[in-house]
Amino acid sequence: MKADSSVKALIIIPAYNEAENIQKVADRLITDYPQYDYVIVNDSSKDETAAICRQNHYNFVTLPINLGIGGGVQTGYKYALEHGYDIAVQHDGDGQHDPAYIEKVIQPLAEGQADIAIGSRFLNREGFQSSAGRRAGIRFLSLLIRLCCGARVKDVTSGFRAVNRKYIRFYAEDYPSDYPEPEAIVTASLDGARIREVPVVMRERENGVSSINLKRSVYYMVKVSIAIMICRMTRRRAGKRARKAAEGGEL
Amino acid sequence: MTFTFRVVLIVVCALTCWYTLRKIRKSQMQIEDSLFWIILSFGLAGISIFPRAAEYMAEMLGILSPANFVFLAVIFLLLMKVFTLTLKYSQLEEKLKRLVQRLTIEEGKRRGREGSSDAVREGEKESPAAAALDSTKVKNEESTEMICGGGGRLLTVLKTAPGLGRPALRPLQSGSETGAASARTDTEAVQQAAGTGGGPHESR
Repeated sequence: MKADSSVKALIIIPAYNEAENIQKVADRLITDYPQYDYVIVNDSSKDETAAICRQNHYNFVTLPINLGIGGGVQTGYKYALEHGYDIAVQHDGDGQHDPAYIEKVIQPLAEGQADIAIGSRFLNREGFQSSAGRRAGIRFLSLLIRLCCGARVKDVTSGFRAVNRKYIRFYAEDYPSDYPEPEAIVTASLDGARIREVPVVMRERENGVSSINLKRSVYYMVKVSIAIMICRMTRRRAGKRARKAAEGGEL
Repeated sequence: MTFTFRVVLIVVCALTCWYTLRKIRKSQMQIEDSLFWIILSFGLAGISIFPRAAEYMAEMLGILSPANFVFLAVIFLLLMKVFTLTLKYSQLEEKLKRLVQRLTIEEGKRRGREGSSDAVREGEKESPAAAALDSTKVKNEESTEMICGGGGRLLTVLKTAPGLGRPALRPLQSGSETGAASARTDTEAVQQAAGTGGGPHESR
């Protein structure tokens, strides 16, 4: 399926200390997928990420201070909003995501079937499946999210997602900062977003170091779980109204 | 531990939770920062429901009254909280300083770049902003639509200003960072529009 040429899509590539991977990721996008625009959000990397981007004349922005993945991705959304993009796709800068699936993840949006589409490793169980411990944690969060806002998502931590114009604006305004992926699903869902999952294949991280370790994993689980519940409690009214409006509008 | 004391603990827990959630709802507090207060208030509620826990700890520590242990525990937690707040404050100061410095340097760079073009702009002060904007090659449709005659230039600044609020982040690229795939970096154009608007604006 060819990408609809009238739909403007931006690939948001958050990057923190990805000097070893960023060139591969960016070159692949530029040569094989020129139909998409992209922006690399350099989150104040301490290594040569910025230098590499400059040398290769990539389209990138540099944050003067480190904001974390949440702040970085939100910067991408603000960029998308300001430049008037119809669709924004989050795509990791570490080489785990395969740009071949960008089209698949945009499809439900282009067809108007969803507001947000998440590339999921666990729908078809192909490719890198992550460790057993993390899968268990992800399953727990998936259940919690379903209880709190009704969104049925298996791969809640996937950073490979496409978002339409309405939610570009939504996320540009407000996006969680720490470990944002699951919370972002909840906030959008409570606002009435239609969320679909699309099967994708991801690769294992090639180079560099992941920012997750055991201590952080525990903090992550606790914090995200509580945050999801708080989201549920604090956005109830807005969510109900928005969902009713969304349902009414769709009929 | 008297019954009244336990009721007070529960009430305090409920009030703290409710108030904290209210602040979050109004976007006056981030969820990450609220975690401490939510967990603390649940801890207090827990002690109220299971007073044995406090009694046991008091015995262990040689404190006469379990209520005294609760006071001690809360004070200790508050001390920890103040310490972490001090840390956070220090880091914020540092970040702010760096941000301000970066902004200043970028501002200087930008002014340096358009220093020559400013002389030309001076003559165009009263002309419709449309002409001024055309010459800065703004591709952003929205801002060109905002033009109206007369005080157009000032208006342009105001209209594009919201966009400019954010790009403290964007201007950090030097002029030539257009990726091969992207045709949409009108950053420079917006910056120039800011420059043209900013020039006369500041000279007031």
